[in-house]
Amino acid sequence: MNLPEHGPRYPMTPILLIALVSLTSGAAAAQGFSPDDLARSRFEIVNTRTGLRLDFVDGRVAQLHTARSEEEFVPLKMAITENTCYPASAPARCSLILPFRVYVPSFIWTRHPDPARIGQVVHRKQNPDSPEQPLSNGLGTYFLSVEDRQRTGEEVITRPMEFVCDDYAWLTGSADGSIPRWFTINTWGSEINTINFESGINENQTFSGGFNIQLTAVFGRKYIVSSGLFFASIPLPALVSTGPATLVYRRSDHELCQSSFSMDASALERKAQEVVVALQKGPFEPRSLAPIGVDRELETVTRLKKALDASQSNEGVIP
Amino acid sequence: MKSILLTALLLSATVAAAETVMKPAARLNHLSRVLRGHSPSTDERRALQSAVTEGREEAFLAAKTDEYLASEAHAFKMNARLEELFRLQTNGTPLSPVLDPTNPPEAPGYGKSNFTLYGHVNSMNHLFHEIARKNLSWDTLLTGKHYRAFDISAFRGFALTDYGFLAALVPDLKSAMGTYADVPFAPETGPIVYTDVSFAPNDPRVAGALTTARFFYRFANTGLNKNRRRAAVIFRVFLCDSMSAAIPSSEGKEGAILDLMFPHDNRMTEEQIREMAQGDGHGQRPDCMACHYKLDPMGRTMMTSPLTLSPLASPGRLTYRTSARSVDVPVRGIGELGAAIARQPEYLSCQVRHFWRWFMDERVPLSPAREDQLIREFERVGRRTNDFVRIMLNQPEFYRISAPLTESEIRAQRVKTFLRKCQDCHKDQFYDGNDDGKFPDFTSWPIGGDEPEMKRWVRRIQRVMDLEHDGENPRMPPVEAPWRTTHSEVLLIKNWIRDGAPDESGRKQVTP
Repeated sequence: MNLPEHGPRYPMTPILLIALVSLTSGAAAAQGFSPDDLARSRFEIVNTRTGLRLDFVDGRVAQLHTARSEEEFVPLKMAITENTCYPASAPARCSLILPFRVYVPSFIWTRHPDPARIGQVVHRKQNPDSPEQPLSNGLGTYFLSVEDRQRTGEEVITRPMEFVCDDYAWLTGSADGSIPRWFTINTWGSEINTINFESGINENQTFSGGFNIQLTAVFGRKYIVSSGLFFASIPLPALVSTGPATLVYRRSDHELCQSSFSMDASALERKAQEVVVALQKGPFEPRSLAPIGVDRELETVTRLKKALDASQSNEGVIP
Repeated sequence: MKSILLTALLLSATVAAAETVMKPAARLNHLSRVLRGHSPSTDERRALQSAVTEGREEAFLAAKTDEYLASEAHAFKMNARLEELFRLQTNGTPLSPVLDPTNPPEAPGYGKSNFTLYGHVNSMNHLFHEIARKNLSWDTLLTGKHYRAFDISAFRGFALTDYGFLAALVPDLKSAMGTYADVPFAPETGPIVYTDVSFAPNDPRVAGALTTARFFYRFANTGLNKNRRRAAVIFRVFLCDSMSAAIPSSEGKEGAILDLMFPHDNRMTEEQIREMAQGDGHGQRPDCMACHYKLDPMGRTMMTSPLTLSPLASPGRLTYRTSARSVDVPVRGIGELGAAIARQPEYLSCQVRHFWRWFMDERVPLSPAREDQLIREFERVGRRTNDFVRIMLNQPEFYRISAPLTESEIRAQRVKTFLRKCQDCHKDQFYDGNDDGKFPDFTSWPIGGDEPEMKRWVRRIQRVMDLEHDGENPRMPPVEAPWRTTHSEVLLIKNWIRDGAPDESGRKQVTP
């Protein structure tokens, strides 16, 4: 599958494991499969709207299933770097405590001439000499957090996101350490360094975030994120930055203030990696897709099918 | 005797003028190429011949002007001009006139890809297109409140689509705000989905092309940048302020300040930039303030909208100074900013100059008097795009063949083109040698106003470019600058100075 050099691609982040994985890797490698093996690797995609099924020309059938993690959480450290309204306030250190779930999709054989393969993961072999890889490797892993309630309408996460600081003077201007019961962050912008499609160069840019992030104080010392209107350009939690995070909010005199934080997202990467590795062992639930998956899974599998149909020797076989 | 001479002079002037005006076939060709981007058809050429034979070529060309102005090709041409003006990636593919859902645009090398679609089928390009197609006011670029928001399947749900961009203001755009999957599946080249959206005329959150996903995404923002990059584009496009970063004055901290302005192709971290900015007082220095005093208040109008449009307007100011006046207009949001810009005389002058550049031969200068006259015409037609294009087409210069440039004119033009690059960065630089503390305009000869000054500046140029050693060890442009002199540019300037820095007429301005 040959994509143009500057053609369509999804924004990638350093947290690669939770972004989509391109199917193009190693695509031009394989040669030497028998015509029969190549022919029987062809399939039709059946979109059942609750999931995807692959009907192979030789009668084999595979269904897309998902392994879903328990609700996990991870604290992400944030350190203030700029505060336009209260520049004299103490340099606060905060944490965004992020609840999340991970969904790992896999194709599972539901009909196969070898009974031992039923219930097993479908693999693809790109080269006669290379090891088999799960067919779902190209589908990516889904990472769902608080804002996905907005995306999916489902209660995918029950635990609230927390925002905890050792000092809130940067936010409130208050010297006595007291914090208001409710506070609104008008805009939260999360930055990553990624390619700009227009200019073709990598640059720091705000790529996700939220509006009207409602903070509700708990025990007078920490906030929970009780609601917000989130936006995202990558399938990552909207309030997570691999670069700086910038918060815009109103001072008591209604002047708009801006505070910037550096955020360390490496803890999320480590934790997500652990969870994904565990999930890849199964078991895979019959409920098929992650709530956000179906369109993207279908598009990815369609690309794979097109590639197999057009040039099988470049995409390997599905034994 | 006197009257004979006068008649002879008039006659020769008439003959000269006649020689410079295009013949009908060339006029039709020129008209078609300028308005549609391609030559007229064979049938059109034949029809013109018949019209010429019958003595009605003027009526024929007038009818063709109407036809071309109403064509999709003209709308696309204006769209492409605006893309270039905004420095957007242009794929050279016309926006499908009726957005045929079964036939999305195709670009060479890209096919019918979604990125091609994104590059063309978006609210910004649609606005560019509609301005010409519907003869809208040019101000719509700044003050428009009506959008066609498109939903592109591969980018569906991503904040950088029109749907995601406008979703916080228009709850009906359901795929908004990072919805990845709860919309019906559409294949890669499937139906193009769009929604027409309108805002109140006084909505301070919305400002024509400025509040579109493509504009915001092209000129990405960070917390550190604070929308200054977007503000710089607005100054450049609408007020013709080039907004190049000024080279700092010689106070011994050039290196650090230059690092701030040209941060090594983004290899520096934000923390490093912040540290440097604090250490050197960037933002307070006169050189820096030459830009910051106007960028910062304008950037504030986009403060709440880093990637997508916020439901909360952000107040700011339109602030700038010209040699004649100071402008300082408080605004409630970017919507009011757009309207405020459209009221400024600098905006009118700037837009007229864009049109002049687009429709006239680049060798035809626009005099201040002509510019004033065209501004009055621009106002008279209610700033409507095609009406003003028609005025440009009716200018005598439009069909005039410019005399070929002389060798010295070509050379002077090339030297000025090079010096303009220097000028862009030095224009706001201060130094002690001038009464007003400003650097002279390198493209206005003699540089500095007289021959001794010109000589001084030529020597300086010679030194900083290290022309003696063919530019082997130059101090300018600085290593941090985003451009380098080519060898041919070095030779151009070196030889020009060696020959006495001749002007357009070939007259030496400096003793070699």
